[in-house]
Amino acid sequence: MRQNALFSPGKRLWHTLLAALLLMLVAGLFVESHPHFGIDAVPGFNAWFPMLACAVLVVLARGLGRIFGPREDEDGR
Amino acid sequence: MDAELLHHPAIWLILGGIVMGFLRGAPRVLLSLSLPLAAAWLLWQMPEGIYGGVPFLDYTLDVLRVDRLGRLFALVFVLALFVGSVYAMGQRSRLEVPAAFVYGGAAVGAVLAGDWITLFLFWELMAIGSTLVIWAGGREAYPAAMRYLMVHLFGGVVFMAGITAHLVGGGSLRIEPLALEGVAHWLILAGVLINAGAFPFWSWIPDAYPRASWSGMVFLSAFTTKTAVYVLMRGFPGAEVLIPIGLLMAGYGLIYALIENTARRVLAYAIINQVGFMIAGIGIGTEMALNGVAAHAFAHIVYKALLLMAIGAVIVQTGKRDCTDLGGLARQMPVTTGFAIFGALAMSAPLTAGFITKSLVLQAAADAHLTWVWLAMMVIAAGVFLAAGLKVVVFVFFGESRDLDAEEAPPSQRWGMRLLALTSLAVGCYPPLLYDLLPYPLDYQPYTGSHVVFQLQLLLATTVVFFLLRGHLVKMLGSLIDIDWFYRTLGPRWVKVMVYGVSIEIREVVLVLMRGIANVLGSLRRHYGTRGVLARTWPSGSMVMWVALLLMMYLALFYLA
Repeated sequence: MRQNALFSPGKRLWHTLLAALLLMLVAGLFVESHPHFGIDAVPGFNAWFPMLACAVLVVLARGLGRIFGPREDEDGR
Repeated sequence: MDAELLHHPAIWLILGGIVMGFLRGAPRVLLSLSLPLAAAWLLWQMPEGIYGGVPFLDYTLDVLRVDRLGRLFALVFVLALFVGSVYAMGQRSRLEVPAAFVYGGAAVGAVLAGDWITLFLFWELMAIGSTLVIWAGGREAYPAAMRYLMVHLFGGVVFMAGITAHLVGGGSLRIEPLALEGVAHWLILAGVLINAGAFPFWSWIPDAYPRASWSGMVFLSAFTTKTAVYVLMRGFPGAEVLIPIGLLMAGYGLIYALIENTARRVLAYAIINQVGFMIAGIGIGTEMALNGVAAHAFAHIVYKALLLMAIGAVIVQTGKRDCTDLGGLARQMPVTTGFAIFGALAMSAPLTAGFITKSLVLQAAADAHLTWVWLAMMVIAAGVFLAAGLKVVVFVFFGESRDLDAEEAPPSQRWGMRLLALTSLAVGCYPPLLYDLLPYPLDYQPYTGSHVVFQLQLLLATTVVFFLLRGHLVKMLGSLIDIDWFYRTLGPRWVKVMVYGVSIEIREVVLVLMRGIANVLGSLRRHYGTRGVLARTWPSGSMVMWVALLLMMYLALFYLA
């Protein structure tokens, strides 16, 4: 069985998540930070960089999954 | 020999484990709960120093070295044994918990060892103990346990070859930082890295650990890789080669965890990921980095064990192990679900242990101005929260119910999870609990405005990305071909071709020989057998004729001669 019933976050969860993220983004503008490299001085770096990174990782994993998967032995159940 | 050795906690844990093997029921549980407490007390009251004086061949072994680093790791291991014992109270296997005590006791002995030979002896005992823990997982676990043992015996041989060459070359018997020069030290490094799950010997973790019983993997996740991390901290702090090795492990663990379908295998890949993170931290090698690695080893053992306990409880209730077979258990197992969510958050959310430890390593990378390492570690921190935290929790406990017959986890399992969650919370809320135990003095304030806000940004952004991409994550659930393909599929096939290729020729030769022998025997039988030509009774007339013929031949010969 390859199908997994998707967990769909309800509207309320979505709104809470996005509101919290927005709040943290705004808060990020006011806290005192000590950027080390330049790139981490860009506003919201800790939000957009992980987002981008995770998206790239998922795409990469899907690509690798097509090349190296699925395996044939007992682990590939 | 120093009298203090009688107070060596490892020896008591190992002996206790062996005694436990002969007990059942309440006495076993009582012993399994009291031994770790006694060991923790022994550790706590033992003054720092080196104890030993045990003669061995031409050497004198420093069997026990108590200092801040060793004591911290030993305390964490004892904690893991205690909490694991609480969780495993209902374990019916008579082998698993006793074996786990031998295994955990050997791990304590290894991190308290003052010299390479003692370390090696405990190292090998760990391999045996952990194999037995996997073995206790049942029939399905046997082949994986044997593969696991092979990898570790090989690692042990490499490690011993390195130690031997080091000692023969005039190196110090005491465990001290080694310069990566010469074959000996590279062999030691390779032997330790095999136990850490580094490339190309990393697939033993997702191969063997998830086949252990529901409680077995809780023990397994704590000791072997973290002992390897400890030895790397002792032997190779600041060895730059460890940074790429660690980051490669982390990246591999992350990608495979994203794809993997079996819940505990996802967590096994996440172990490789986090151990890679620690090894990269050892490669940075500053006091800040080493403090961070030691602290993160603690936090990782706690939150990984918590997640494994939650999944273990699900396995007990449902008998299912794959994300695609699970879902919607939050209604039936609300308490377990709560602990699983906490376990995912404990990776790096504020007020948990993961937050105050991971940031130390990141800070060390920033202080050393290692831009790329720091960026990679950010990716690891976000990715592992998505792959091992959100994915496992949401796919197992939420989503459409599969009408699985499940009840809430029993009290012993809930207590195991509760103790771990409280530990993580206590350390996260009051960092000096852990910071004061770290090997080097530390001046770091985890709870500043920017630390908290930036960490929350990271976690929230990762959660948003997870929900946006969840369709893709579901579609790619499966298993990937891994390095173990070489020794589990290609190797046997190659051997088969070799064996049958040769045997076809041998078989041909043997067949020809056999046919020849059969022909000879057959003709002998035809002539001399019970019904053979020469054994039959003949009429006297024909006898007279044969005699006449012989006489005629004789006459002819006589005449001709």
